[in-house]
Amino acid sequence: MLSKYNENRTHLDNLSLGGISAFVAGSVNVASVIVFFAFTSNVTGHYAILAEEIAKGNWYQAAVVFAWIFAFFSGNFFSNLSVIHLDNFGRYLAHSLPMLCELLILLFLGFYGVFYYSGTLVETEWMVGMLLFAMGLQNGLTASISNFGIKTTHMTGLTTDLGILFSMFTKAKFRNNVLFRRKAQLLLLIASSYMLGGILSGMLYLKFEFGVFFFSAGFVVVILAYDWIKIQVLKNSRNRRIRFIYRARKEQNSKDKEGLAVDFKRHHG
Amino acid sequence: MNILKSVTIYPVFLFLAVVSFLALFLNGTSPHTKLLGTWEEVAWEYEKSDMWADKSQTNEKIVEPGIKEEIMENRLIHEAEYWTFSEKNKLHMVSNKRKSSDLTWQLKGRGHVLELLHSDGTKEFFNIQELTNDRLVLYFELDMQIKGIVKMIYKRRKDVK
Repeated sequence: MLSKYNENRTHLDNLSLGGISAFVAGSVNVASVIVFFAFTSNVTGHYAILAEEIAKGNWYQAAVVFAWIFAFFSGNFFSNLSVIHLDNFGRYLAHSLPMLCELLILLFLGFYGVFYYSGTLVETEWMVGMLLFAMGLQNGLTASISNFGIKTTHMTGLTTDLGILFSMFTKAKFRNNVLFRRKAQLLLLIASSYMLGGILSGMLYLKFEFGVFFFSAGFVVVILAYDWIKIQVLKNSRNRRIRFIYRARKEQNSKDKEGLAVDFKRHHG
Repeated sequence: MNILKSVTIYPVFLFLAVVSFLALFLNGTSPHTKLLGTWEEVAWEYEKSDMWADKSQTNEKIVEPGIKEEIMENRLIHEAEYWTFSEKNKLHMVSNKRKSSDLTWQLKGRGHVLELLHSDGTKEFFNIQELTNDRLVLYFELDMQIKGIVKMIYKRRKDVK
């Protein structure tokens, strides 16, 4: 899911990553709306709110919303920074680091919310900022490694693309185009996963409150673990193959040597 | 020259972002701070036209009696003339009949939602439409898409304890 980059990614890779990360985005967004009354994956709304607060002269609120937008921007920035600069240290490391940071943020917020949260405005502002940073990390990573094919918190763009695609499907040549059909499948899966994540998160919040962030973190672990396990399995099977080839060559060499020794003895008596 | 541009552009951008944030932040006052003090109820207005008793008189915003009772049920705050928000998140309300009550208050979101917690655990949410040094406007029954059905207007009162 994470290790492959751009054209090396298969349709299944994109579906897996898009579906699970959209689920996480939806669950986090709904949880933050319920707890903090603020969206953490609707940056379009934050721009509108920023303009509104500036127009009203509410400078403090404008500063807070500006910081939130910048947090989302920073998440995307650092995510892609990791992808392009840490590639030499290993592709899995470069691609998984942003997700790992997101996981740590979700775990921290879940822990803090369960044990320490007292509901003050300052706490709310910081926690929403951290969630926006986490969503920026996720969105930046998925967009970057999929060549902007997957954006899991960008529902406005997704809905736009879906509208365009479905209008294109009124023509047979576009309907029969495999790439367009795959794109539509991916977008529909992302939208559905986002909704499902949001619905489940809303229902779970009633029972577990801040524990719902652990639920979201669990799915991030799935994304991280999937590639890691696959890499370990591939590594082990490659090592086994190498050992097998080495043993086979060694046996062949020793047989060749025996054959030469026999020939030598026969020849020289 | 190109290297110089690429090296300087990021710090410049970051500097501008930080300066913008500080300019907004330092010029503003937190809604939490603005809310502290005593507020006197000035007016109630009703926003939803289908609640009007006499639909022919569209200038009148009187809620039908049955609906008003439903709104007033379990809501001591609507009888309270004075609201005093204290630093320790305690809200002391005094009604025009000299009835008083104490609740816990919190601000949510970017400071645009007022949450009131009653002693029995029930919560109420108000959308803070306007909060200045002298005026507080609350919309009752928070809805993310549309304004609430009741608009409550308060003015700051300095001499009530």
